[in-house]
This record gives sequence, C-alpha cells and structure tokens, in this order.
Amino acid sequence: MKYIMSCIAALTASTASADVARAVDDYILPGYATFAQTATTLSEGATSDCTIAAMRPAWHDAFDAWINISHLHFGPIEQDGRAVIIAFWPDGRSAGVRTLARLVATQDDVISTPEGTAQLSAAARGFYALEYLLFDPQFDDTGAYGCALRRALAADLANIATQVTDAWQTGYGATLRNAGAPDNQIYLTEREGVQALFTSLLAGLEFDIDNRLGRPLDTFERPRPTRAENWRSERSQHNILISLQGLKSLKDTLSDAQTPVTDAAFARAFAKLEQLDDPAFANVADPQGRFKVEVLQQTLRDIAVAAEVELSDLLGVQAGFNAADGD
Amino acid sequence: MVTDLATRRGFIASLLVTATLPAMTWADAGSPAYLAAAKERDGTFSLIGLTAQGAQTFALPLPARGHAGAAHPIKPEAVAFARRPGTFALAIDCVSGRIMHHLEAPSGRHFSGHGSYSADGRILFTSEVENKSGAGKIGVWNTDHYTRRGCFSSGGIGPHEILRLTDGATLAVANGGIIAALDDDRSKLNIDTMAPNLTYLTLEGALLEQMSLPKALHQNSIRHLAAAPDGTVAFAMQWEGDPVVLPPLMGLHKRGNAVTLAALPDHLAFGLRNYAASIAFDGQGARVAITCPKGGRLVHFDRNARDPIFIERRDICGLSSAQHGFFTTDGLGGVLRAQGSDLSPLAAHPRAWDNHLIRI
Repeated sequence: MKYIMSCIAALTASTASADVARAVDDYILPGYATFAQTATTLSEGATSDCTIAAMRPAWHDAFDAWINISHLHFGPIEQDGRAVIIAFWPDGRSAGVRTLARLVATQDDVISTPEGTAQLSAAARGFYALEYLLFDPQFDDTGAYGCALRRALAADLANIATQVTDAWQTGYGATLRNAGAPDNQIYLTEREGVQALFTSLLAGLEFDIDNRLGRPLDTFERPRPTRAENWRSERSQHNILISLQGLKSLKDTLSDAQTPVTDAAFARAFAKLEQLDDPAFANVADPQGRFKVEVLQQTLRDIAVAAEVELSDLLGVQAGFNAADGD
Repeated sequence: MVTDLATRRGFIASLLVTATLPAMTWADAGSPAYLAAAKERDGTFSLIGLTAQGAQTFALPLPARGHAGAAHPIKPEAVAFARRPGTFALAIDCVSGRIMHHLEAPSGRHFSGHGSYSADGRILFTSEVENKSGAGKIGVWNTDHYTRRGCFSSGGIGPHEILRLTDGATLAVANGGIIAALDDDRSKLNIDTMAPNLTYLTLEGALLEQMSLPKALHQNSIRHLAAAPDGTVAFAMQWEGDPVVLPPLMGLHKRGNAVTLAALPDHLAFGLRNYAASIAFDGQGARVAITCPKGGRLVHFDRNARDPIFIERRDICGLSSAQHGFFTTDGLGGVLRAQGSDLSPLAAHPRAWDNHLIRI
C-alpha cells in the first residue's frame, strides 16, 4: 500500500489547499454544539426520570455526539484534563468501576454537589462511568443513591460539555480560524492551524486502529473481547462508524485536495461496517469473526496511509519532530 | 603591492591565532542567550544561536542531526553531540562557524548526547556508554585542543544528561538505567530489571552520593537534569513500564535529603503521555518546568513539586530558564516564553527545533 501510494503521489503531485475556517464553521463548531446539546438533554432527562431505561437512549445520543469530535485533542477540551474526564478509556486498572462500587457501597454523599462530583477520580466520571451505571448488572438495583449518582454524573458531563463548547464559540474558534494573524498567541503561523487539524485526523484513525479495534483483537492466540470499548452497551462497532463519519467530515471540510485513494478507502471501510454484524466485537474470539474485524482494521490503515500521502502538503515536514522522537 | 597584501594577510592571520582568538567572547558570536539544534526545511541540520527575544544570532550547519551540547562558559565555543548513539561530537567556533575539533568516543563506546564544562571551561565532561554492557562512563577532555584526559565511572547504567553544579565541584549524572541496542530503533534490552539513579560525583570521579527511586518506580528512567543555585537538582523522567500506570515525571533532590516527586491526579497526568523531555528552573529558581512533547504540554511546579500549572503547545520540547519564567522551543519553529499560565510567542522560525536548548 505504501509503495502504491508513493507512486500515486508522484504522479498526481497534488497542490492541496486547506480551509481551516470551513473546518471550524462546518464541522467543529456544529459538532461541539451537538455535543453540548445532547449532554444537556441527557442531564435534564435524568432530572425528570433517572431510571436506567429512560437514560440509556439519551446517553447513546450524547456519546455519538462526543465520538464525532473526540479526535480533536487540542484547545478547550484539553484544559484541566477535560477530555480524560469525559472519556476515561482504556481504564487498565479498572479504577472507574472500583470507585463507583465504593461510592454505592458507602452511599458517599460527595456527589450531592457539583463541586463534590468534580472531586471524584476521572475514571469515575464521564461517559464510561455512566456506561457502568446504565449497563452493568451490578448497578441495576442501586435505589435512590444510584439515581442520584446517575444524575450527578450526567450533570457533571453536561457541565463540561457546555464549558468546552462555550470556549470554542466565544474565542477559541476565532483563534484557530485566524491562525497566523499577528496577534494570534496560540497559532503562530497559518500552517500550525492546518497541522493541528491534520494531526487530529491521523491521530483519530490511529486511536480507532490501535485501541477501538486493536484492544479486542489483541493476539490471535489470545483475543480479548471484553477489552472492546463499550462492549457492555454493545456499541463497539457503532463507535467505529461514528468516528469514521466524524473523521471524514474533518477531512472534507479541511481540504479541497482531490483525495481519490483516501475517499475510496473510506468507502470500503463504510461498506465493511455495513456488512459486519458484531456490535460488541464479541466474535473476535473465533477465527472467522476475528478475520472480519482484522479486515476492517486494515481498511482503516489504508485510509491513514492514503490520507497521509494525498494530504501530505498539509502535514509539513516538521510536524511531530519531537513528539514522535524519544530521547 | 602583492607582497604587501600577502604579508599583511599573514600578519593578520597570525594576530588572529595568537592574540585575538583567546580574547574572543560570546559577544563576538552576536551574544546569543541560547543555543539550539534544528532541522531546516530543506532537511539539513544546524546549530542556531538565539537571543533572549528569540532572534537568530548565527546559524551553523551540522553534518547530521544534533542532540544536545554544551556551551563553553567563557569562550564562544560549543560542543555539539550527534544524536544517540553517536560516536562523535564537534567542538565548534561559534564566531566563524568553523569546526575546531572532532571528538571521537573511545572504541566500544558511544556518547549519550550530553556534556558539561567545568566552571573555568578548561575541562569538558562527556556522558558515555559502553556498547556491550550499557555501563556508564564520564569522559574527561582538555578543552585547549579537546584531547582526552581520561574517564571514570558514571555510577550506573546508561547515563544520559550530566551537569556540573554551581558549586563548581560536583557533577550530577542522570543514569537512565536502560541498556539500549545500537540498532536504528534503539530497542531497550533490560526494561524488566532497569534501575536508574541520580549520582553525584566529584570532578575527579569520586562517588559522593546516589539517589534511587522507590522500587515501584524502577522503570522510570531518569534522563534530564537542571540545577538550582542552592544545589537542588531537578530531574525529568520517562516511564518504560505499564502504560496504565501514571507515574511522577519530575523530581527534586538535594544532597542529604529525601527525594520529592511530583504527583498529579490521573486526569492531568494522562495528557503528559508518561514522557518528559527537558527540564529547567525559571530565572528566579522559584519554579521548575518539564516539557512533554508527546502530550504537547509544558508543566511547571513550585519548589515542593506542587501547584502544577499546565500550558498546552504542540511538539514543545526545548526548555531553559529565562529571566522571568521559561524559554522554550518546539518542532513547529516556535520560540516562546512561558510564565505563570501564559505562553507568549517570541518568534516563529521556518525550522523544527530539536530536543534541547543550551543556555549560555
């Protein structure tokens, strides 16, 4: 693939032009607005009806909205560890579920105020903590305390989503849109703004490949279906779809470049997802099921390789000079 | 006429050698405040002098990617090390750009990329590793012609940065603990058993004191150092253990005292990606910062390793003290000053700044 791609690049020698403003206006800002809206709906819904059955659909909606933009690892979302609080995964130490179990067992009233909830460890906040409360049977019958805990975590999540979205709408969006302007303290050159977005595209694909698909696949000898993201709520496969849709929107709004190979790889990945019926990636435990997920993983690798070549003008040779290094 | 000119040129040349050169100071190199290695847009490498405002005073080509180096405390000379596991270093005249001397690592050893001059500049100490065993050595060089005087043990495996402390009599050594294979990937051979330490040596190589981390942190490689005037040494670490563990990446140690490690809550530690690249005290010695290029963050702490302040900047890496706050560079070409929670750009250069900054 790499070889073929370098031949294509040599033939087409694309002159990509980037449109950071369009990416901000047509993808990022609407994406964050939907995230804030759906998280608020989840929290408000929980206030009127905190039952597990009532909260699940709103949790799904908010999670979809989050995954759509979750690869944007810069700006307000990175302040005060917000991205980690929203999405503490993978949780290799099972810190989240242990903390939640302790809270329930002790009926800890730390969650009675927003400030108290914000003191909880990041692993016990955000979408993944709520997933335990809404989908793990051990939290089914937690009574009034369980209700209060679900409400507190939903409100905490809505609060962070609103803060981040406000920050994008009232300043950070303009800062990114005006990358390279003389008074811009964050993006010193126009190129830096393009690179922040392009790096997000590649990092998002890498996260899907290594974590969302790579963790349950693990090795052929020892597949790990219960390491799949959101296997309890059976949205592991769905997350890949939403993530790819978000990444495609990012690519399409960011660049006018002709990217036929990238687009074809995206199309193949969407087609594979359409054919795949393995919502929690439980089938990675048998060889045939594993093969299908591996094929999907390979199509995502194809997207990454193609995007890197076809959009290389956006990347610039300097990106990640130190970050990718080690010394 | 011709003869006159030739004679005159010869005369000037002899003047330069015998009289002018010893009198040269850093002012003759444009008074840079910092030195940094960089990769240029055309793919070549260079050593750049920078003012405190981020402007270039000189740019000298390097034959390969540099890592760090050391600046002579008096004369406008610098030693630039090849990237690990390099076997050569260059002593460079920063006025003319001339390579004055090639330093070769002894056979069977390589340089680890860092060095430090004695306070009077007469001796250069280089951090070296035995290829086979990973055993650490400190090479000792006379700086008049950069001839080798000898060497002594670094007190551990895989030494990385070494630093002469402000007392003028002590060398601090970050023995990173890792035995690295000399292949392109620099793969690590002893991660399960590694045991880094911070070693204090006299300039003659006598062991003064060693600080080791608690056992649970034995996979936390101590790699880079900074020193405060009171003798406190700050060290930056890189975690080689299980990625689900979020260990401290910065510690403070003063001889004779217990070590202080910087603990962070998970949601803040996570963004640092378990990797700190450079470390420095600020100009007042009140705060100590690390740069974390993989996480795109600078974090600075108070002298008790508490009160962390986070600053986001992609590919941030080079770090040194500034009169107020910190002076820092990144792979995007930015030169910036960090103070409090503010990051102020000073300049944007069309080059990628490499790992480290050297303050002159």
